[in-house]
Amino acid sequence: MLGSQSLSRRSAAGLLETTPPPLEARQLSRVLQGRPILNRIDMTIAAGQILALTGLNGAGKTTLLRCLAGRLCPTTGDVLWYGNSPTRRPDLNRLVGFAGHESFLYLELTAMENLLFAARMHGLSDPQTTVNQMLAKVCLDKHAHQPAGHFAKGMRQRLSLARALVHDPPLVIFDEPFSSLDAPGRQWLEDWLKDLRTAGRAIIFTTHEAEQAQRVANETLDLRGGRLLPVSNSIAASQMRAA
Amino acid sequence: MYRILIVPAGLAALLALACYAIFVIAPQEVTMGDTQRIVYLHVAVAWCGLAGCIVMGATAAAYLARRAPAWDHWSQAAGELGWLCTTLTLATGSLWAHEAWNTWWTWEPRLTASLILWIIFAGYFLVRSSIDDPERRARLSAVLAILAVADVPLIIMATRWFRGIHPITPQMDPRMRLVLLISVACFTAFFATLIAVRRRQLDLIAHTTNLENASLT
Amino acid sequence: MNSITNFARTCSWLVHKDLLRELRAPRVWPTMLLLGMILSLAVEMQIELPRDQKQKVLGGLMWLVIFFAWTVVLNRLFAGERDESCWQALLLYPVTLGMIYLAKLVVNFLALAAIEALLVPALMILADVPLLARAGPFLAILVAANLGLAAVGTLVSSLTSGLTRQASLLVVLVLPLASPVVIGAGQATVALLGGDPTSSFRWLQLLSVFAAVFVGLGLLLFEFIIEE
Repeated sequence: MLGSQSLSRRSAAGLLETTPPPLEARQLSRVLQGRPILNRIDMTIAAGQILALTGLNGAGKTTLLRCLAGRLCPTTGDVLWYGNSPTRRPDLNRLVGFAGHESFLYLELTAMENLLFAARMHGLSDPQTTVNQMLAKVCLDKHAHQPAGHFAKGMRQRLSLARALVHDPPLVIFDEPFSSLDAPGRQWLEDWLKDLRTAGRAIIFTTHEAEQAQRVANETLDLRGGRLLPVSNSIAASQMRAA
Repeated sequence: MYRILIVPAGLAALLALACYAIFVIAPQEVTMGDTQRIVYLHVAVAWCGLAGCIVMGATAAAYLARRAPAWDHWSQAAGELGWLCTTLTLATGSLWAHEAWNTWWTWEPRLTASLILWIIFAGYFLVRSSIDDPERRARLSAVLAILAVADVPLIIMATRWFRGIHPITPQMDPRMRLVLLISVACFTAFFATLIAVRRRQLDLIAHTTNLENASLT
Repeated sequence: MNSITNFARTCSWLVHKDLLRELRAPRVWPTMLLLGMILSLAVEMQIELPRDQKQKVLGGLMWLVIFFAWTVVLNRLFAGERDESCWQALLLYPVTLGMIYLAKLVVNFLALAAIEALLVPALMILADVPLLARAGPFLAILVAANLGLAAVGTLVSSLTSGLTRQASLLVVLVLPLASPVVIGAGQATVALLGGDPTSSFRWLQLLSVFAAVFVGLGLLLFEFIIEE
């Protein structure tokens, strides 16, 4: 289990006092056709923490993230967001921003329309203003009225991340967010994740690059044989302690 | 060793009883003669087809509520036997129609509804065969089975609301009515036993598959 | 009241999204409308009967044409969400599965209404079918039939989405399940044209029962289709 700092703050939806951690997995297992993909995983992420997950292809990283994001039901065990199970609680989806391998974008719609749809689904009070700000944040404001299908892969990735974060969730789950990004794009995303951490968000992401994980995250875990194994304390954590 | 023969012997006895009732007890019908005896089989298998569909739907609902694979096996077994009975319904109905109305088929509401039920059963098994994951197969099949059962009241409604050339309340000799009841009872028991046997078979297949998967990990 | 407003608003955004997608990249609706026109023309040309008999026959066949043209839309109803895994994204929003089901049902209903808006006037002009004189009862038949078809079509489309042989499975399943509606709507229309409103009303009751049952079943069962 990770060590956690507990912060008292209201969640984006104003639903809960956050004495429980933003994300907790207890004895999480997922079995597919008799084969255990995830094997009794226990983990916790605190607010203001970044956790990186590494692992070989087919290790089950995406399966784990989808379970943590409430998209996949664990075979046994629990996933808790601020102490609440997300099963059959779609109202709690406001607490999570999830971006997966696929873009989750409607390619016929423009960048603006995609984000407006997401903002409206999350019930934001002023979706247009929020979307304008988010498009500027991901440097797509000049392409706001172009269909997402016309975007290059890197642009689509940025729009996908924007869609996941348009409602400012306290818990962020990203599956290989750095893929499809060029070097400046990766630096931009690393800086954004660190800003989100400073703002008190709990973040978990997967990556194939161990160095990147150590640069960005407080803690890195490796998924192997269905279990999570600590890799090492990250460079970032060491720098934070030194500062 | 002889315990293994109890079920087949019981099934044979049921069929023998039904045949005895149909061919010996039942009197010969005035207009159609011996051909009329098809109706004892036709009504029995039609009822079994309908009952099979209802059991398929009820056990499917139980599966969605409990998620125990045994309920899915009951549903599949009931679906298979229900499909068989509906096939026999159409076949015997066609034979009877040719003798009674000089036509192999007519688009009369109840016959049409039986054909629709047959196609629904076929679709149910097409869906089952399209899905590899056992849990997903059971879940989606269960939903489809419940939708199929929702069709059954429409069959009953069609019989009451619309007159076709299909006899609705035939005037029957008391002995004929008795034979009809015996036939329905025997065939119901027969197919219910077959459903139980098939369900047991599916349980064993699933158990064997699980053992194989466990040995591979 | 607030929750009902939120429900309606969310459903409306979901419907708006689907209609906007189709408007931006029309893939399905033009095919659906064109197929409907071609089928109805082919059917009308083949029937050589006295005027009043032809009207009755076409009143029934019209529903068959609507049904087959509509299956084109049904194919894409959920398949479109599987592009870029948009379906996963839908489930990440704080919306209930009932909202998603009803939104898809509304889109389905509108697609049927679009086909009928084209085919019914065509039928009235080309075959001189006097539906305008019986507009009120015919509208009731349209609404009840559309609701029933949309309810069962949305369920079957979501069930077969992602399966192998999805397109063929969809038609094999939806035709028998929706056949009471096709038959009922056809018979109701024929009875209406034949000057038998009592019989027409009785079929309308059947259509209404079907719609109520399958909308209810849809709200109950949709979550079992969607879960992973």
